[in-house]
Amino acid sequence: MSGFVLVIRRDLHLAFRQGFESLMVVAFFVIAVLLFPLGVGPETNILARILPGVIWVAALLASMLSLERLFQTDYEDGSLELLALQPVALEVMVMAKVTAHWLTTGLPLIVAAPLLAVLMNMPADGLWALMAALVIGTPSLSLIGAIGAALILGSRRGGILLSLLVLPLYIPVLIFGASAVDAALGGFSAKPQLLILSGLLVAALPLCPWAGAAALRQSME
Amino acid sequence: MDALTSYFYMDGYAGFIWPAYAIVTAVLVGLWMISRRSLRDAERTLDTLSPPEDRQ
Amino acid sequence: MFHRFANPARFLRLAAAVQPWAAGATVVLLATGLVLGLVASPADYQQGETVRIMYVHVPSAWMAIFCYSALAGACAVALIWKHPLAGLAARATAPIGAAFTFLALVTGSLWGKPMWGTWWVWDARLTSVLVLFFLYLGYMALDNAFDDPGRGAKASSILALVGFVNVPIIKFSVDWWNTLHQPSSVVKMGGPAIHPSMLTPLLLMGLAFTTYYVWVLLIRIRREIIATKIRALQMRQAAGQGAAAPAAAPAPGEAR
Repeated sequence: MSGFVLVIRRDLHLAFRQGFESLMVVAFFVIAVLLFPLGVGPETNILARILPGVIWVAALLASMLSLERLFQTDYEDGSLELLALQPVALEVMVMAKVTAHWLTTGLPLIVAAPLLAVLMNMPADGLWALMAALVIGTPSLSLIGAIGAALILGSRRGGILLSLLVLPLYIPVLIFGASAVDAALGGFSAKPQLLILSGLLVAALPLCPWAGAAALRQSME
Repeated sequence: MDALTSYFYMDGYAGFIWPAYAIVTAVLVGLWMISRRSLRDAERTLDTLSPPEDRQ
Repeated sequence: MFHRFANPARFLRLAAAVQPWAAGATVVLLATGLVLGLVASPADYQQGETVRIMYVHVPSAWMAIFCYSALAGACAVALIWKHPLAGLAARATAPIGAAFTFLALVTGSLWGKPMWGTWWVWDARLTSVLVLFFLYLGYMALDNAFDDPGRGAKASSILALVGFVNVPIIKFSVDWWNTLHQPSSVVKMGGPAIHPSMLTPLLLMGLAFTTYYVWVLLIRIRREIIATKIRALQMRQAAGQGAAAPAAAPAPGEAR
């Protein structure tokens, strides 16, 4: 357990020293969402209709932006091999990095979401569903993204490649996350979609660190 | 000749049916040709690197 | 059984021997399938002549999923048992599977317009097949993204296995969700729901596409084996020329 906490603390420490980068991710998220009223026109009906999808797409992209560096610096300066040699399992290390990623990317997005909902005039019914879906869904984004981040270590054009790999795997989270908010806005219960999102998270929790650790191991061969 | 034309006309759906079959043919034949050329090029390169007389 | 084929030279001879049979079978099956499908079979009482697109659309879709399953299987064998040919078979399969997925999407769209009135709809079946197409592209991109082809093969193998969750989703999407796409009519409990006059050309085309896959797969695997030999020869020659530097030759068995 202490190894896990140590890695989280180390990554958070590094993130805060580069705290600017985390803020940039949130800034990208907000700006990306705000582009839509400018591009689509300020009609509140249209904006309200597309808002759930727009927020989710922006969340996916923002999550992906910081994924490339998840293992990159450790891979380049050799700390990855040191981490692999620790008595703690590599899967735990991956889980720790995923947690740090979520704390510096997913959590700020969740905090920023209500502000955006207000700016885009989303009715209050939708807000609770949006928050719940983001809370359940963003950890899955970090988990799935970690696999992609581990696979591209040492590759050419890692950033673009990462997007091509990870976005198809993100699609179920996007579909159910946006659908949860749509349902709530339409007066229906968002529970089915939230349950499926929880199912995705429960499946991702053991599988993604395992696959990510496997990818890390063969990147070090 | 009219029977043939009406056959190709496919009750008005010709614009969907024949392009579908054409694309399938083009892609499958094209993939085969590309694969074959890739194999030929590889065999040629192997022959220059390691002439057949040298191989047992 | 597989270990007999681990010897590249033996596999090359086997492949060269089998290939003409696969080619011949493909041509014969395609010819009969096309004649039956385009000429000698009836139009559907509901869909009219557009049903003839089924004879290329459904086999393409079957092959799209079949190839991905073969790809994932080969990747599993490569990762777990480190069979040298499995990785090459995976790399050879991917473009063929991607081509069939593309054809399934395009022919499906051409069938959907007259039948449903729309070129595309975001239902579960179509969306998951589109995801399958991107998984193929991602696999091929990752495979080619490293200077060391062995590393690329291993990374893409992990991706292929992770993406395999999409296959049951495709298969059962028409059962789990209300979709525009019609439910299974061939592989279902109680036997196929299609009239024999249409089932026969459909199965013939399915078989034809399968033998086509074997045909082109053999060509591509042969190419991969030779490419491996070329790389080994080039590295040996480079090491020989760089006499002063320590040989950069890989460990035995490393240069697949």
